[in-house]
Amino acid sequence: MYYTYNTRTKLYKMMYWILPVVSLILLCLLYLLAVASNPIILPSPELIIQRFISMVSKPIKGVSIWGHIGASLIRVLAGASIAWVFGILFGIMIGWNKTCDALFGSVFLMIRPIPPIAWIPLIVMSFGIGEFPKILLVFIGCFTTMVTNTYSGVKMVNKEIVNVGLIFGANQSQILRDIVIPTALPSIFTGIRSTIDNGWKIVLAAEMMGAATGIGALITRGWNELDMAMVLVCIIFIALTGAALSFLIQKIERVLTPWDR
Amino acid sequence: MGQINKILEVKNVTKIFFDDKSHFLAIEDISFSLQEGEFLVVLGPGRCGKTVLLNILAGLEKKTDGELFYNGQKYEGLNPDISMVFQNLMLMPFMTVMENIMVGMKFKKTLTKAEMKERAQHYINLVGLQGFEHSYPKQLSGGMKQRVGIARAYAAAPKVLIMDEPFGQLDAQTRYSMQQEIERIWEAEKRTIIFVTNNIEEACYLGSRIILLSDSPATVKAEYTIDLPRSRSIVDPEFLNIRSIISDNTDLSV
Repeated sequence: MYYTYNTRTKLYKMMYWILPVVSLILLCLLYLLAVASNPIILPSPELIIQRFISMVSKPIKGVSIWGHIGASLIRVLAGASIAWVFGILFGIMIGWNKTCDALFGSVFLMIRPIPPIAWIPLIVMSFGIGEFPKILLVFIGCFTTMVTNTYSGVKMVNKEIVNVGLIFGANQSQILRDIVIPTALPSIFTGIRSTIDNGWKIVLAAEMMGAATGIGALITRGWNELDMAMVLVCIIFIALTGAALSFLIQKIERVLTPWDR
Repeated sequence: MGQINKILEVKNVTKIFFDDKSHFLAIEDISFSLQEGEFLVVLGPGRCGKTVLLNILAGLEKKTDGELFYNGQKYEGLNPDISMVFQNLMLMPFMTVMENIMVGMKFKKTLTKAEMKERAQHYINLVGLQGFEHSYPKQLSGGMKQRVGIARAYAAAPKVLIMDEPFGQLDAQTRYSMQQEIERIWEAEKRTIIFVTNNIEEACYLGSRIILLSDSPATVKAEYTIDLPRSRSIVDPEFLNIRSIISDNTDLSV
């Protein structure tokens, strides 16, 4: 009995390692199929690998590929981290205080659905195409997400658990710090993860509009030179960086919210 | 010595809930007193307003009319000497057993960290949770969670402990063992307890005195002093006798 049980769990464990690889292989096969049907536009796998090697070994527009990734990453992280600070503060404020919610809630509800990319013309006209406008755009896109997630996390705090705090002698700031914020923390982390995704989307759009460095600038360059292999290599790099970031945040989340497994 | 000290007195307390169109009389003219060190059981049918009464005593809810006295002093609102074991447990999911039990001491900020730990450990041992200090509530069984709730209330060092149907959600077996546990803890660390239940057997097993409430609106219907020695046997003829007297007088909850 034990023997069969153990063999089965081992098999399952192995399967959970093998299945992701299988899906990756399927994705590659799907791409080969696409290449076969559209060989003029879509580059062949050999070409992509060649381009990958040349992009890693030679600088493009005077900057190495890592420099371009770094430039985009810094824009994403700068905009997102400012959004984390202000988004969490604002989310707690309108989630916890009814007066603040009445005062700012409806305006926020109107601003929230505006796609951040819609601001591009206004921002480029006001601030040009330097670093600041790009970080500002990322901030705008991440802020709303952060507020929404923090707000719904704070709303998960029920009256009874606040009563526990009151009975045990907590004052308002202790209730906020020791009950409300920890309760909201898992959804704050959900917010942080989605701001990273949003940040990448926005920074790409911003860089494609005009930038000297960044992955978005490389994609535009590849497009202009009809170098689709370069575009695809950039896409692969974006995917890998995004995955690495999610992984990192998940690890941090595990450490900071050990009860929420 | 003379008279026994009345630690808590409830005088003519009434609670009416109002909303836009109507009002609802939850409790009507309730009066009783609580002697220091006694185990008072408030027995009443389900949803009769027991929790409302408790919340008023603890200061979580405002009364519409009447007066409350603590050690002869009139009081209103939260009282640092009154602690509570909640009906739905209400442990902090993000705190370990140890942190949950320290919560009252942490908020009041009168002890050092070492003193808080020492006292928390004392109550962890008292409720028999050694080895689970660093577990999260999610990892505990129903009975163990309620032990945490009891230790948390005790660790806040109250004079009066209010327990709001603490065993309502436990299975019958765990419930019996928790009843014995709470009796043992009460005898080990004498506190004045107000224990609320809708279970007649539980009331007779635990109470030194029982206050029977009527169905909604809650009023005091009768009062019984139970003189049986502890720990009581639930099949003792005398126990069964008291139980059936109370049972006959209890309103059926619909």
